[in-house]
Amino acid sequence: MKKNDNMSKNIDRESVFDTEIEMEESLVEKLKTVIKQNKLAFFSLIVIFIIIFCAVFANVICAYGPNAQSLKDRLLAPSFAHPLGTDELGRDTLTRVIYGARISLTIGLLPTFISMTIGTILGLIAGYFGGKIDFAIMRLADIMLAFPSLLLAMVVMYTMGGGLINIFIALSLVNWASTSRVIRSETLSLSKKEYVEAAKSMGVSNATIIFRHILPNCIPTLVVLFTLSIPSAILSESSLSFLGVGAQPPTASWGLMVVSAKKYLFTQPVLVLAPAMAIMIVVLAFNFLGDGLRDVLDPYLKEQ
Amino acid sequence: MDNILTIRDLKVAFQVKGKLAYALDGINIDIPKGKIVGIVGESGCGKSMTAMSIMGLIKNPGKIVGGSIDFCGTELTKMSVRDYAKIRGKDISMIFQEPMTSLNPVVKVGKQVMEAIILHEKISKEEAKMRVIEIFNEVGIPEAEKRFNSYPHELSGGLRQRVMIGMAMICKPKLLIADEPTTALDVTIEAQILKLMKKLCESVGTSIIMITHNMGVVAEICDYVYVMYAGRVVESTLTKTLFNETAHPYTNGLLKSIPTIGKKQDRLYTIKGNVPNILNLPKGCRFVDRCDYAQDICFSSRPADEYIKDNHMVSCFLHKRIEDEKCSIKFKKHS
Amino acid sequence: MFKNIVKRILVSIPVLIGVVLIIFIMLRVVPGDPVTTMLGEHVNQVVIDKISKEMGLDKPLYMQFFTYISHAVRGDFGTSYRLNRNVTGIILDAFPNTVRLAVCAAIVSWIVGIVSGIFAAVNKNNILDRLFMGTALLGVSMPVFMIALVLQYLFAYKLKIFPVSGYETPASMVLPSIVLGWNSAGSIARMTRSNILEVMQEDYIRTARAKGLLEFAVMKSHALKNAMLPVVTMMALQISSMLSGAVITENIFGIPGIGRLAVNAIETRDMPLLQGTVIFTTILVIFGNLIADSLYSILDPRIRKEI
Repeated sequence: MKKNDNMSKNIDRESVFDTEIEMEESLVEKLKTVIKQNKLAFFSLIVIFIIIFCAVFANVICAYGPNAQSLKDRLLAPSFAHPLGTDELGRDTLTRVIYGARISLTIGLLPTFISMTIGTILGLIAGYFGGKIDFAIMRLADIMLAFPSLLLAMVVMYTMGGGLINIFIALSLVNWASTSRVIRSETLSLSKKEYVEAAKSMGVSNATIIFRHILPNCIPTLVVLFTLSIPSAILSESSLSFLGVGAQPPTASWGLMVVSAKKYLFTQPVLVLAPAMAIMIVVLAFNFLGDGLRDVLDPYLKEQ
Repeated sequence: MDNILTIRDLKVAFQVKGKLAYALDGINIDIPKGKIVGIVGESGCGKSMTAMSIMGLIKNPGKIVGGSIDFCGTELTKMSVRDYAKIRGKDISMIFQEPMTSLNPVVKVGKQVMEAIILHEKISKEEAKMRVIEIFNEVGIPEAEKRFNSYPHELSGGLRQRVMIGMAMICKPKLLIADEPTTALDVTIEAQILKLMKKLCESVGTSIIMITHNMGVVAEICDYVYVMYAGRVVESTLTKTLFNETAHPYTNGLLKSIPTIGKKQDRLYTIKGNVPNILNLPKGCRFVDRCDYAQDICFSSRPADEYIKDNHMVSCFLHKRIEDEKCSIKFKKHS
Repeated sequence: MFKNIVKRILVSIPVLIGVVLIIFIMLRVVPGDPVTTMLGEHVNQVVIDKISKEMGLDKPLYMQFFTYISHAVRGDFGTSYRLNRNVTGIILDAFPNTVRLAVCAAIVSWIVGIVSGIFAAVNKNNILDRLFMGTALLGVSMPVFMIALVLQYLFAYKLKIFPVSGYETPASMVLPSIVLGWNSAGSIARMTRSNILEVMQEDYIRTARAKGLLEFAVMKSHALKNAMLPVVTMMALQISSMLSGAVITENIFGIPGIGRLAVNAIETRDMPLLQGTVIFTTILVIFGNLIADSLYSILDPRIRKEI
């Protein structure tokens, strides 16, 4: 009898401990919960993978070349041979939309990565060292944030001329300021934490503190910011191309496709809709994913 | 019938991962008219949940799943949302723990108090304002007329709590629930606020439910005490009896952990362990894991509520054994 | 409070100067000579020198900058190279069209955004909430030109309710306003919803309920004011993205506003005009931020009294 009671006591104790363990979630588990609970984010992730797959293997998937003209097949309606029809030069729309994914994804990922790297470095420096450096960097950020970003990018494109490489540079230069602000404030609060103070008092070098203690703690924020910055970069590229100061013909850029098909809006709307829908799907997918990540990874960002 | 509030076998549960977790598991509480009743216990034992169920403001996943709350002859648990709102703030009002965050930061304090009276009484704005200034004077807010137009952040913690008391008392409620009203305040302010509450309630005939984890507060103003642990009432009696004839080991632990001035103690007594998670309650008595007097029976079955005297209820096997075997185990007298 | 506002104005002056400086450098310290960029490649060196001299581009950069600043302070942004007219005059001609568009768009986005945000918050997590927030996210995710083209197709071409383009009649302003307001409406709705849901968790909301207020009254007299404070600030900050959006909207609907001017300036390689429009627009944004900050300190009593 007594033995039984002791056993039940032990079991109860164990189950109490179980719940305590459950409370502490690691980063990986948090990501798992995003995927498990937020079906929309999970679905978006799948969509993004499919689009990346299409973009990478565009030359394998597509039956036509992106710039293969066929003047006798101009402005064809959707058919089996051309599921989304052809444009005014007889190029296959579906092919061009798939190739466009290459450009949009590269534009979404690469300049965003560069501008976030710049922003992170400047934010870390400003937040960690403070003083005059902080003041200078933050005023520069103020100035950059004051420009309507599209106009600033337009100015860069004006001086350097159109073309994809220049869009890269323009978007990398324009968008670092908001990242630097967020990272700065995060660095400020992190550098007041006990373990950073302790490291400082032990004479650990600044670089080590920044890279070992502060930067890793900014990673969740950066992941969320990165995911949410991709769509705005994609939108900027398509807007620039749409205005004629971005990618130049005959590049298969979605924005460019929309603008060249604009005159056929009323006669063959699919020419406009296909690239426009493509932009929207990519942007939505990244937004959904970013939202899902933010809810779990970084409640702090949510408040802003 | 001189109880204004009678709670019988009240059960409040949350749906967690498909199963019900009981935050309150069959509690019985009586509040006599014009008396001050203390509810004590550690954080997470269900004190605030009791208050919120009386107010009808349990947050969403939680709900009342059984029992009754009878307030002056009306059953609260089955009341419509609209009727409940008419009682709240008028017949039953509440003071919260954090005077810092319990007032809306962007609305003038006078207006916030005025809102309560305009809502429940047919009264003109000017009259209402007069009443607010009157109550401000009563709760000891200096320059009441000027303070009417202050924002919460312009007042000290003590003044803000006085505003809260004014807001709660302006409709002369029958029952005032005070949820740790002095925990966030300085000790000197604490005594003033307690005295004020006691004075106001005596003059209007309001009963008070004083929720606290501070035995000092209980000793100071309460007539009756309910000791709660993990969603159950484990001991209830007159304040004096509780202090002198402590029957439950948990109560004893609470009393022993009060530091005493003028007595040398190596180490302040603490009850070992923590309040169990309501999802994972022990099979037997809820306190068993932390009890110094636990025996075999305590691990296997739950003690029933038993009256060892008029007005003295306790839920513990230990006590039963003392009675049955005329055993003379007494707790070491807490000082 | 006024001290605060004055302080903010003073802080924005260096930002303004920085803005002008950056645009200045970007347009001049570029690979190649600015005049060559303007005229194209195959132009006689004599002509280039002559125009450089006329526009003062042969002087050292800092001299150009100070001349420009001192003129700009007096409202002179130089002379358009192509239109041979004072840039300030050209901008002021175009400005009312942009303002009218932006104001209409702002009204659309505020009404739609706030109302649907509140509505979604009240119906938290049910079908209506999902529907509204889905639409809002769609609003944020759609490129401006796509909304424009879709609306043109539906309402101008198919249903023939509104004209395809133009700016003279009120009816012709409807589509551009919706197009431009669409994105902001989405973000305002999302922010309104999340703020309300956050505020509803506050202690003072519990106090209001304990007072006996019904949910509607709690929302109306306690939650909304607190929840809307950041939203109001955000609405002023939206001026920046509105002006970016206006560039595209004006080009699609053929509205001769500032955005159209900027694109024209790039197309005709008219550097002084481009410089003027960008600087002017940025001044507007800085002004908008100033209003946002001041509004916040006027509306929030906690900040109002502190400074």
